[in-house]
Amino acid sequence: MSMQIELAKHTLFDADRLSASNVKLFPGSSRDVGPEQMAEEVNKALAQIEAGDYDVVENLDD
Amino acid sequence: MPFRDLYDFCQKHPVPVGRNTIRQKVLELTGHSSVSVIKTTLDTDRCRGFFLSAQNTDHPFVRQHGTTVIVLARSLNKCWERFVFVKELMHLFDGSIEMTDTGEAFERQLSELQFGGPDLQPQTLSEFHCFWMALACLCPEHIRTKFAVDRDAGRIDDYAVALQLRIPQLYVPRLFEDRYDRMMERLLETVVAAS
Repeated sequence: MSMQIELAKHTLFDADRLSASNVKLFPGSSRDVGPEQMAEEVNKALAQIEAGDYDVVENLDD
Repeated sequence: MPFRDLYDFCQKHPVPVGRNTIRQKVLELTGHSSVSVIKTTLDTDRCRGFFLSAQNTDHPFVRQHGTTVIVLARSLNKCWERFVFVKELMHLFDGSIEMTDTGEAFERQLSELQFGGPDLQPQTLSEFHCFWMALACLCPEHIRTKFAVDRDAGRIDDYAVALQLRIPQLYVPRLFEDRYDRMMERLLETVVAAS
């Protein structure tokens, strides 16, 4: 069962959640990572952001 | 149309082309008011970053960060961070059929990113298009042409090119592949058509 993919789909696209109109991904360095693992990273990142564990990048002067 | 305009705009800039410079122009061309950039602890073996456009303005995430967010892995070095950011920023040019706005399209996109396929959906093709668009923004054509001559003559290597452009060395060879010109020709037309 693709638990992480299902979780990501609900978190991203449910009308009472983020109701996303576009989601795009930059894959990682490993060729062995499957859809479930990539969805897990999205879920982790969104959970971190919700929990306040993130840094806002203001300076893009590079 | 926007991407052609952005492409032309970037040709006039010295390298490294700055992220703020590109961001401001993209926002101007696409009519978006802002894009937030957030770093989290993504595992870069699995995912280096992602782009999210969210419409539920009652959601705390959207209230805090706005509707358009680029998430980057904390551990990326500067060259990778620049490239991932610019590639994700290019998704502001996505046409309606390129937007991943359902769970089904998202699941297929995840699968196609990993396994490819003979008939990729437009949402996945956009991932690849934006990769080439980012390369073109970060390496103006007259610079690329000069690098190509110097590289062929053995006067410069990929590391030196990466250092000047501030992009990952891994992607430098893509600038000099035959398909680069074909992709640019196609993208400068297709993205116009999708708008």
